Amino acid sequence: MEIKSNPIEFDGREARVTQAKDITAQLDAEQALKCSEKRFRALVQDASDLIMIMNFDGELSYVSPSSLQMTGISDLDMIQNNFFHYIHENDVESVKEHLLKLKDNRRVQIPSYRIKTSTNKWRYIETIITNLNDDMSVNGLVANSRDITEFIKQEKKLIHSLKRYDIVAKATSDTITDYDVLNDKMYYNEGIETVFGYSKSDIVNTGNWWNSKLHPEDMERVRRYSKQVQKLRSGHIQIEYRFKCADGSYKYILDRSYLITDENGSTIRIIGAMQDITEIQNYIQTIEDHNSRLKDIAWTQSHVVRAPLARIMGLVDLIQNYPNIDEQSELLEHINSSAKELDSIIRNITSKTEDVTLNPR
Amino acid sequence: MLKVLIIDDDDIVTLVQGKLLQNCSVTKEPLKFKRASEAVEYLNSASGEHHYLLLLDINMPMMNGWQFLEEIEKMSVKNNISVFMVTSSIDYNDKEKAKKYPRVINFIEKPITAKNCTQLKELPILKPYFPHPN
Repeated sequence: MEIKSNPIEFDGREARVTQAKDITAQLDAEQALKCSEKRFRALVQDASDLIMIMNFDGELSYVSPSSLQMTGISDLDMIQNNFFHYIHENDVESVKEHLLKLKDNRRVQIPSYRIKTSTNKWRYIETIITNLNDDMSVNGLVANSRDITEFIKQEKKLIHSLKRYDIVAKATSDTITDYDVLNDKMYYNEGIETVFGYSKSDIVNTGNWWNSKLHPEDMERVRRYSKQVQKLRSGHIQIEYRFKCADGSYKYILDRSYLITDENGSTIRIIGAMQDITEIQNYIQTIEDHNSRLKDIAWTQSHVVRAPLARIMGLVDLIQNYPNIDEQSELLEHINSSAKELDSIIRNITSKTEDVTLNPR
Repeated sequence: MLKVLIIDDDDIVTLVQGKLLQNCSVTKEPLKFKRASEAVEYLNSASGEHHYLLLLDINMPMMNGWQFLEEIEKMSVKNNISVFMVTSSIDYNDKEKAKKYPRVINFIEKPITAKNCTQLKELPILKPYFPHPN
């Protein structure tokens, strides 16, 4: 009840008019309004999202207190400036453009842009803006902004790491493979094109297609090895094989793969790097050829060299054991000629070895 | 009687080996062959009454020591033949290969020395041809 009581003069006597009124309904209504305001406060003022009301020129008529939390600038300070004042110069045009779309659309989402904080740092935010010019109680554009700086940072890191991974793959000329065992799906990076020459239409994304490109002589060995690795659950695969290119030629590959297993230990994914070692392999082959030629030379020379030496040793042995032997001077002459032969052979070896170094096959 | 054949394309080697064999009293008249084929010819018409000791070089032109060993197996006097492989090379593989040939009883790296000759006379298969002085 609400009671009103006023003193009056009634017929020259003091009197009182008292009015009693049932205000239950009014109180209920006020209570409801308070509740609703509280809720509004809770939602708008204490929320982490920043809520602003502005017009098309960016003049602010309301800023929620969460501005302090997001930008370090209090709502009372922020409202002093134009909204565009806080936006990074490289982003402001795009924001304005989006804002203009509200003339035809009720709601627009502005993708990430930067706003300045009290410490002159930049935060990335994302805004949903609604045109409530028709609503008399609002009469403006309501901007609801969310801080996405952490998200952007993570995204940047991810992009950076993906880029780095791509660049590393390019730099090493590796072809990256990713095999989904359960679904029998094989994915490649661009190496399959740049290293092996397969165009996208050539590639069938199955394990079988990959297997079919193995050199027939290597197939069994690779199959046995990968079976063994899966059995041992060692995780790592490192194996060399030849892999067929689009033009039919083969490249020598060093494959380093990693097995990803589920909780039961069975392989679900195989991620690998196929390194083209054809050049190294050819180089090794050249060196091995070279080596075997040098070995040949060494073998021959040891025979040729040892012949006159053995002769000298035989002659000396003979003279030592039989000092009275006939034709001593003839034997000495043979020692002399053998020594000379030995000398010229050694000179020959030096020049022949030089030939090998200078004239590789 | 023991006949000693020196088969080597190197004249000085045959000279030295010949003189050594004479001075060590292995043989008075060593038979020298500059070509393996000449030795094959000689042995093909050789008498089965004698035993033949061959000092055989490995590296020779035309027919080398290994080919010569193959030829021996075709000869009627093959059982009367003992071979000393004599080579200037120091090759382990040659030594192993020589073991496969039944006639080869020794493998010597050049040069053959007086010591080799003394040992040669003590080999069981040759000992009968060198009666003890006493």
